[in-house]
Amino acid sequence: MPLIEINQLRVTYVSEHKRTAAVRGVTLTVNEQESVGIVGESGSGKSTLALAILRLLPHNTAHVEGEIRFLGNNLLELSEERMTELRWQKLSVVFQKSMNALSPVHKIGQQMSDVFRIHVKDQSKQEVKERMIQLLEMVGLPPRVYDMYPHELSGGMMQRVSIALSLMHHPKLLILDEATTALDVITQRQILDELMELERQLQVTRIMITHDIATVAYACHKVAVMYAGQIVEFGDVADVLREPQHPYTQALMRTIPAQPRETAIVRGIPGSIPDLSEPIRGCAFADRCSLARNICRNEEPPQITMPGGSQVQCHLAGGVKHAG
Amino acid sequence: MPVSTSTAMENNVMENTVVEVTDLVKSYRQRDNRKSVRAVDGVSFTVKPGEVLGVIGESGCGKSTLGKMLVGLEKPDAGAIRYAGKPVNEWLRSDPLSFRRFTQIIFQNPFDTFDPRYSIGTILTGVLKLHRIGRDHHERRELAATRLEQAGLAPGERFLERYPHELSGGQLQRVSILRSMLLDPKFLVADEPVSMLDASIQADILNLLADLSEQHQTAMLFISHDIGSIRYLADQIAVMYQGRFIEYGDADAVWTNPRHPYTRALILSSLRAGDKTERNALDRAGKIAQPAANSSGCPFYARCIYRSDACQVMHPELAEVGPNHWVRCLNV
Repeated sequence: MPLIEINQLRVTYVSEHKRTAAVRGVTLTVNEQESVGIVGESGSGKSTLALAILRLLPHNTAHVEGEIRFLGNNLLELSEERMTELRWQKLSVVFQKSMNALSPVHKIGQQMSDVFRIHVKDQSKQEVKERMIQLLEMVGLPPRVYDMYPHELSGGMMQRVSIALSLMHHPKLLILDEATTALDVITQRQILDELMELERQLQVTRIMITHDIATVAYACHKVAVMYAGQIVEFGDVADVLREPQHPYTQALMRTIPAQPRETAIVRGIPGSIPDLSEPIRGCAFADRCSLARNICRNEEPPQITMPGGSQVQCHLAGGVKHAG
Repeated sequence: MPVSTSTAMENNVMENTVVEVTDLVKSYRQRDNRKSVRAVDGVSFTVKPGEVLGVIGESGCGKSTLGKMLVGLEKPDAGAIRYAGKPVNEWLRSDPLSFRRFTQIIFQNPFDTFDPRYSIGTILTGVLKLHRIGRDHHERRELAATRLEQAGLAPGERFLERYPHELSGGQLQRVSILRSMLLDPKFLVADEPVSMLDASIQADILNLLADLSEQHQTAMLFISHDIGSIRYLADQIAVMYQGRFIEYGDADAVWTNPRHPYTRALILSSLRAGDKTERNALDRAGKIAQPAANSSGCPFYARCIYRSDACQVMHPELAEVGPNHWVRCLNV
């Protein structure tokens, strides 16, 4: 059952002098209780995509087109009031820097209760407090955190507070935007483990934006690789990360160090993402792709469905390995 | 090095060692109470020319404090640092310039590294001028431009004109690396040099560092929280926890046969892709209890799944568990 269906989503940032196409026609379906990781380098449009789903993009500068179907609505057409109701309750988000998301001058418990009471108004103070402490315990934090200020918590603890906040109304969809990136690996793994367990209990669907492929490999069912505002490869984590078909995904996999240099040398991807304020002809990756042919520079690549079910946007998809 | 092995070490240490650190200690006093925190608590190691010592640990373990002490940015409370046999504190006092030529540091955030008001050319030729390298301004600019091109920033002449804000993070980190290598230091501290950068750029920066240290036989202390890049570059690995090396030794030995429970969790936590057998192993070894209040015993006690009663009261010493492989754990 699809929970969210994104159809031909386009986001263009408009300024006085130029129009930058940050998301260029993304179509993505996420089924209930699935977890999808969205990976890509900075500037690939992955955070813009997340903000578009949450409708948190600035109205005056971001121009959004397409359709985002979620629980029977097109999110892009909902009134601001309806959207406010959905946020936290059905749809919530955890950002990378929760220290920036939390107020430094209010106690954790106070902040959590305030958010809780926006949507639930008929509970007494004591009831709310008990509920908040339950929530803290759910994410592995002791009750004393309720009376603490953000600066008294470590990065991992603050991230747990943010996760508790995001889960307080049992949302259907949880979006994590680099939410575990700043944490050390052991804390990161603990939080991911806890999160996956909570998702099973609360039946949450997750979209996880990160540049860390290892995190996606560990914690997601599916992966979407974004490049220059498009999803260039999408499929099961096991298929896409073990046998990447798109030259960009292949190159990305080879940037990750895991073995001694003498055994396996890592290589960066030469060049950079094209200027998205200029029209792009052909494949956006062609300039950095060692396999590019004439067709790649002239025609937009088709979406090809591989035998395993994954989708690749490349003229050369199907048994082509990146040279060298 | 633990006291017990010092004699064994002494024989090969003197011969061919750039860096020799013994029992380094640094405490910071907390502001509100008079308790002091030992950021670095008795660290000893040696590094040979061209060798990379990878220091890994979570935030707050003291790895950056260690790096700063090694280049004279922090003063140790106790212990000794000797470069090429010379004690560092005297060297730094008597001849700071030659000390700086000997050792350099690269920081995590290249945007904080440079003064935004100076062009790359001014920054690089300034270093050369201070150290009296190059006959005149023209020659220094040429040298700087050549080095820029060697670091992949071509044409060098054009980069000399630019200001830090005009460069991307990756480009700026290249400048940071090449600036630190301008003086051909014998010892380089790299404190999380790639963690701010995109994956597509990280790999190239790691390679640049490795190539430079290989070409110039520069010894390096490579600090990171990413065990993948540590594995990639390091000849020796030191795992740091609450100010101490809890496992230290030959990179292959530490990687393939991690003996400390924390090292095991660390290595298993960062495994790539969800291989079934790997994941099962991780579930057994990688589960870590929540940290609790400090005890007088092993600092890792509260989080350890292999702990015994003795761990609660006894502080483990660094013990040799194999050739060039030391571990600080009572249960190995």
